[in-house]
Amino acid sequence: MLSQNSRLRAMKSLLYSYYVDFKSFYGIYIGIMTGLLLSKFALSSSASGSSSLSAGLVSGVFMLPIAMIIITSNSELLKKFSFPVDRNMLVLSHIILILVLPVIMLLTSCGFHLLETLAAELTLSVAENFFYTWVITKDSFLVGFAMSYIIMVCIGGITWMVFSWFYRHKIATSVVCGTFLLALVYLRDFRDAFLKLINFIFYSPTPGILFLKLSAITLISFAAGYIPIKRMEVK
Amino acid sequence: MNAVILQNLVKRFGKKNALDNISLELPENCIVGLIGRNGAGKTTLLKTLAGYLRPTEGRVTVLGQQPFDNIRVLSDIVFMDDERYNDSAVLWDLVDQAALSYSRFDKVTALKLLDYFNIPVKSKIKKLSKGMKTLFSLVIALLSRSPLTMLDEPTIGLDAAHRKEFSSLLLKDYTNHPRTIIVSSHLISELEGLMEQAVLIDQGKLIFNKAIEDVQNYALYLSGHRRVLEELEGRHSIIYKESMGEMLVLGVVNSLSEEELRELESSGVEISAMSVQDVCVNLTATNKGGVLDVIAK
Repeated sequence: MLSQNSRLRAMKSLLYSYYVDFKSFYGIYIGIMTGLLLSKFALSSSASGSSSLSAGLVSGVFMLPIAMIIITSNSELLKKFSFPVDRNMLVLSHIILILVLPVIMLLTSCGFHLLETLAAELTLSVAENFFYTWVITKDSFLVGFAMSYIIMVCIGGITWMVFSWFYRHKIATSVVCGTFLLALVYLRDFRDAFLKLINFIFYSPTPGILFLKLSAITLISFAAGYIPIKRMEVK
Repeated sequence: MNAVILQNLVKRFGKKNALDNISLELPENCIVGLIGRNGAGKTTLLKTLAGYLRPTEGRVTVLGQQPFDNIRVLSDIVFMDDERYNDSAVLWDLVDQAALSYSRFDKVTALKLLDYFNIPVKSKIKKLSKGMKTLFSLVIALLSRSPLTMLDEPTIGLDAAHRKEFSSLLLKDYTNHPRTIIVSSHLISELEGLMEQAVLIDQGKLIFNKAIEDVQNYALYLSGHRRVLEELEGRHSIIYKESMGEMLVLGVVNSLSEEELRELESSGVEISAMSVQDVCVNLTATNKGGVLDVIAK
């Protein structure tokens, strides 16, 4: 019971610290989205009903890995140990971030989508030379949301795993990644085999199968990234 | 019950032994001074107790359990180190986080103390001076009231007035809420009035773990004619020796009998107690002579 209380208290405290850290991250995301949409309306005489959703996905795909690179660094992990925490909790909180941040980002882009639609309708009612294309249906929206989500989670998970290893074992990880990249560039057979593997993984007859495959890759990334953090010392 | 038990603790970084076969026991509800020169292994020892580092060999028991990656123990430990907080963190958020983390944290008193020290809780850590950062970390660490409170160089950056207030605060809080407090510091003279037990380490090795009264009586300075004092060298353990012509000053481990002391006094030898600081300095002195010898060469 005592152990459960300690664990719960520590987890609350850790999540609170990440909530505080990610307030500014979310502010940057909102800033990017606002900037993209305002510039689109200000500079273009046409708009698409999916531009804010696309902008949300692209921003998320770039920002989430950057966040993962930062939170797995030694200096950031060290600061989390200012208050009681164990390594399992640290990994769990990172997984929660990888799973929750894309939802928040995508829901925010949906909010921007509503604003964009409203702004387009208003512009259409007052401007004669403004074109607005509406290409989203309910089904395509739901599939798009689910696929965008799992793509962001998968990229976030892989980045988290790679940098969890990199910061703990810089030389070994650099050698492995460097060798892999060189082989990809200079060895044709290796490159072809790798592309075949990618094609095999990502070729899917349905979005559902692709979702499952990406989920499996994410789970493997979580398991692989857990190992170096579990063993690390706080120096 | 002991708050800390170390059995043959070794911590190795590469080929270097940062902690070398340390065995000691620290009782509950006691202020312990952890003393040692720069690089002696004080911080490594504290980090091992705080569960940051895994022992290479030996066993560490803190509050009855091993601390590495053990949240049950870690939630009862606070390790104060002012470099550890995120620079962009707002103080208010850190106070809130401390209240979430430590079940015994006294938030009301913490805020009162921060106000007293003129530390603005709405500012960010990076906006604080070195001294203010230290004070903030001290307030969080002391008011967490953790059963094992570890303060690593807690007076660095503090002015004389704040150092005095820190001592008063620590003693008062300890009296009201007894617990094991380990304070590591170079300022031994300031710690002397606080600590009940002193642990001296040097080059990763334990030199002694004694009650402060025992350290205060550990050694004597004998100052007198070389002819009288040189006789003692074979019979007693000498930890300090300085020649000035025919005069000699010896630091002797206090194993002299009443009779020997009387004889020395009657031979014109001046006897004085060796301060705790001098005991620590003399016991950890290198064999390289003094820094003035280097300049003289």
